This record gives sequence, C-alpha cells and structure tokens, in this order.
Amino acid sequence: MTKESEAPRVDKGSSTATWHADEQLLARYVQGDLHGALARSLEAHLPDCPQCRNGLAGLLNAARLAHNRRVVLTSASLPPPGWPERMLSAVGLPDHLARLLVLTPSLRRSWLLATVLVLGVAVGTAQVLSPLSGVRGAAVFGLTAGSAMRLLPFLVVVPLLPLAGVAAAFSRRLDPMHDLAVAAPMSGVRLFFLRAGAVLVTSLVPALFAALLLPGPSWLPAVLLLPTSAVSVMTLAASTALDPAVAAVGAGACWLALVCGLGVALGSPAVAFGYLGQIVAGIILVVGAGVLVARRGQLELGWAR
Amino acid sequence: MKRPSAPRPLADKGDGTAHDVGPPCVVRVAGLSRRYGATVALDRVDLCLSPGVTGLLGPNGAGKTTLLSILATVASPDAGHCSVLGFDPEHTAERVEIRRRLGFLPQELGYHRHFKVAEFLDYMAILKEILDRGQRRAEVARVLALADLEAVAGKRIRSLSGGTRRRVGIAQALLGQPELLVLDEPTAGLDPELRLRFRELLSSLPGSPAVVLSTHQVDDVAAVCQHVVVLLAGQVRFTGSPTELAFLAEGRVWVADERDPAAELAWRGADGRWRHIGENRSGRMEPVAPTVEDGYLCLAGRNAVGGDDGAHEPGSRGAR
Repeated sequence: MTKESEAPRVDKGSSTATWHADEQLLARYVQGDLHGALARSLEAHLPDCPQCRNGLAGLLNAARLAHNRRVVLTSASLPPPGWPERMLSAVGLPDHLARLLVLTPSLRRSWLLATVLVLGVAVGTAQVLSPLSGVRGAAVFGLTAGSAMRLLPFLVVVPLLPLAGVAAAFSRRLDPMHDLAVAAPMSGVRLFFLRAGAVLVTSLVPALFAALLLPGPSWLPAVLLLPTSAVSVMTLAASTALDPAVAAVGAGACWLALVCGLGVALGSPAVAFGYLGQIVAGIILVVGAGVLVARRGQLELGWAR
Repeated sequence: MKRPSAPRPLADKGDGTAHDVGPPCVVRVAGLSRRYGATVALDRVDLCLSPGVTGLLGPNGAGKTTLLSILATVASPDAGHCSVLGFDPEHTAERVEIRRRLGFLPQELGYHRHFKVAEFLDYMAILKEILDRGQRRAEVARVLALADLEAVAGKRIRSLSGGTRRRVGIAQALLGQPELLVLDEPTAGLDPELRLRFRELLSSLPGSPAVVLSTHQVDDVAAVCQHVVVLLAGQVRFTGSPTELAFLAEGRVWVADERDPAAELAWRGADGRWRHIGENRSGRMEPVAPTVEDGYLCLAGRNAVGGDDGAHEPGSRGAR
C-alpha cells in the first residue's frame, strides 16, 4: 500500500505553479493508489495547474485504453458458447445461468449418451418381449399384468435415471472443481437447485419421449411422471441431511423395494403405477417438496457432508 | 541479529488458550479437531491470526491442508469452534458471507479438461457471484494481468506447465478482491523467478487482504510473512514472527570444518563448512546467527527426517 507520508515529486516547470506532479504520481492518482494528504494536496493543486491537468488527461486515456484493451483481449480469449448454451440463452436464460447449467457434471455428453442408451435398452426389451400370458394380477388403467411385466425394465429404470444424475451432479469424484465450487458463494442452494433442475429435465424429457415408443398404451408417459417426480423430490429432500449420493441410493432402494414389493404382494408391478401408486407418489411428492422448502438452507455442496 | 524480547513458541496442549499472533483476529479457532478415520489431522488447535500475511509451516501430514480447508469452509471440524472474518462457518448464512469475502487456492487445482485459462476464470467469477458479463470480463482481465497470465489466456489449462497452472490458481483466488486469501502451497512448482513474482504480487495486492498460506519453502515465509504458525502432528507448536522463529535456534546453530557425529542435524553449506543444529557437544564448533529455517528445523527437524515426535522438544533457550 502507498505510504501517505511520501512527499510528492516536484518537477520545476515553466508554469506559474510552484510545483508539478510527475507522471508517476499522476499515474498512481489515476489508478486510485493515492490516498490521504497526498491525494488531497494533488486535488487542491490541479484546478490551478493546466500542465498537471494535461498530464492527468493523457494518463486517464492511456489507463482506460489499457483497461479496455485488456478486456477486449480477455473476451477474445473466451471460446464461443456451444449449442446447448446458445439454446439456453435463446430461451431467455441469463448467460451466467446457461454457463452454470452446461457445466453440471452429470450433463456431459457421455452422461447424456448413457441415459439414451439405458432408455434404448429398456424400450428394446419391451419391444422384443411378447406379453407374458402366464402372469395373473390386477390390470391397471387397462394395462394387464402380463403387459406390465414386459414393460417392467422401463418402468423401474425411468425413476432411477434422475437419481443417478443427482448423485453425479454433486459428486466430488465427477466434479473436478468441487472444492473450488464449495468455497464460492454460489455453491449454496442456488447452485444445488440449478444442477438438480438441469438433471431432472435432461432425464425426464428423454424418458417421456422413450415411453411413447413403447408398445403399451399412449398414456404411459403420464403415469410415469408422478412416481418419477416423487422419487426425485424425495432424494433432494433427503439431501438436506445426507450426502446427495447416499440420498439417491436410499431413494432408489426404496423405489425398487416398493415396485417389487407391490408386484409380489398384489401380483403385478403395474400396481405401483395404478391409482394407489399415484396417490402414494402424490403424498411423497407433497411431503418431499415441503421438507425441501423448509430445509432449503441446508442444500449445498461440501461443508458438513 | 536483533534479539526479540518475547518469543511465543509452542502450543500448550489443550488448555483452550488461543495463541495470539497479535490482535485483532481475522481468523480465530479454538479446540479445533479433525480426524480422517484413525488419523488425527488436527488435534485441539487454538489460533488467532492477525491481518497481514501468515505462513503455515509444517511437514507433510502435519494438518496444514486440513486447517486451510476448514478456514475455506470446504471441510468442517469434528470438534471445536472457528470464526473467519467474524463469521461462524457452522451457520449457513454466515458461511456464505465468508465465501463472499474469500479467495481459496486448494492444494490441487481442479478444472474441466477442456477449460481454457480465461474460460476457467470466467466460470470461477460466476461462482463468485460476479454475474454481469461486462464486470466479469473486466475482473478476469484484471486478475490475468495481476498474475501475468495475459499471454496464455486463450490456452488450455492442461497444456500449461505446473508453475503456470499454479498461477492460474492464484489468479482465480484473487477474483472479486477478497478480504481473506487462503492459499494452500501457492509456490509449489514455481521456479525462483516466479516465486519472486508471487512475493511481489502478494505485497502489492489492492486492499491488502489478510493472507494465510501454507508452504514448504521456509524462505518464502521469511520473505513475505509477518506471522508464522508451525504445525506438527496436528498441533500448533509455534506462533510468532519469522524473527521469533529464527530466535528459537539462537545458540543452537554451529559451523565446523568437520561433521560432528553427535549432531542432531548437519549439512555442508556452499562454503564447504558443516552447519550443525543442536547442542555443541564436541565444543569445537563456532556459533553462528540462526536463520528462520534453522528455527523451523529446531522445531521440526526430526519430523522432517523421520524421527519420533517426542524426541525433539525445542531447547530451553528461547523456547519457552
């Protein structure tokens, strides 16, 4: 820091003023490095000294030019945004949010490809298998137990996709910038919801499209929506107390137990998607959302996790 | 060498008294402990860090990184209390306030593989809540100039040398003009010239932020730090100025033409003579003025060469 006791350097010029500030002193003034008595004395001197004012004007321009040049060069060093970022900006998202979203660890191209692959396999399985005639059980929304069995891989996998995405979005292993992000103020609830939202959208949209390719009834995407949302919100609510990865594994295990348990008890896994299943999913969704809102302050990366 | 009047070495073990480096405290920790499985990383650490530059010295595994991670709100302690810039990191809202005023350089700088230097800094600026694009670019340009990285702004980070990558890490810590800089081994991998530039940078930072840095380079501490903390096996063993640390070795540094086999630590200097640290058992050695490194070696010497912790309690002179 500048020593305030430092005496101004004096140039003996031809002007009527008794002293002139040299270029170094003026430069420090321009940069805001001059404080206290020295700055005040220069400011008192300037109105009466055209020579120093001229010197200052020249420096001001030079400093601004240098600053502008640096900013322009920095902007030129930034690579142009990719298509996902441009798309997000096109729908009106501020550029910083678009940037944060595209850098969610579980939104990498490899992750999205894996999602498509898993869904493809589930859809393919349903297409290849024919309805199982030997299965008895309640029909749900006109979907027989036999048809439900061939859709089982798909029905089970879809709610698990966003869970895996959530776990990956907050994983120290998958995010090389985890520690840096944690120590930044954006790492709290905002970043959490941004990433979680991005994961849900990028898992649910392909899943719902894939559901349309299934041999089952056309309303299949609709019955998947509520259970999938419920399991996802349950994961996020549990993340207010647990590590998101642990919460995701727990919620996934609950989901598998529920589908398999109901399937065994009532004869058809489709029951999990029937009226009863939808009501239970609705309750879980509401309770989970309530917990999430009430405890949102606890949602963040790092610290006590 | 001017003899300091009151060296303040050594942690008393667990009496709960903070070791004041000099008020007011930017960072205050009391009874801070942290374990990783069976390993005790920090053992009831009490500290009060003043404004200015504080250097954290200690061998590998002494707990430096754990302490800095806790100060940077990346890790939480198992026990004890911590106050950073007057805020309590245990409280969510206060933790965010700390992060708004913090610049953190972790030991390992993480980045996405495809990141270019300016792109990385731009992303970090977003995480530091500099949301306006124009402001962000001006801030990125500012830290690029400060860390002398303008020439590599458009290069991929992974293509840079270790030293340049370290400077990228330092640059991101400076984003947003933080009030507190927590730097974990900022000079690791820097060549002597770059270390000198780092010292210049640290001395000329606008706003004079408080700095806590860990290092293995004792000469960095002697050159830029007003305060030194020595951590050994998770405990604070010294707090004070570099001069006071050097004073710990007063009367315990000797030179001789031959190595004294009984000496605790000895090495041959550039002048070809042997420098010994410890007692002058042979009585044939000449005393010399100690350096900061001598003081540190007096405390940590046997740790550094693999000796047991209990065998090197600092000597009676100047230690207590």
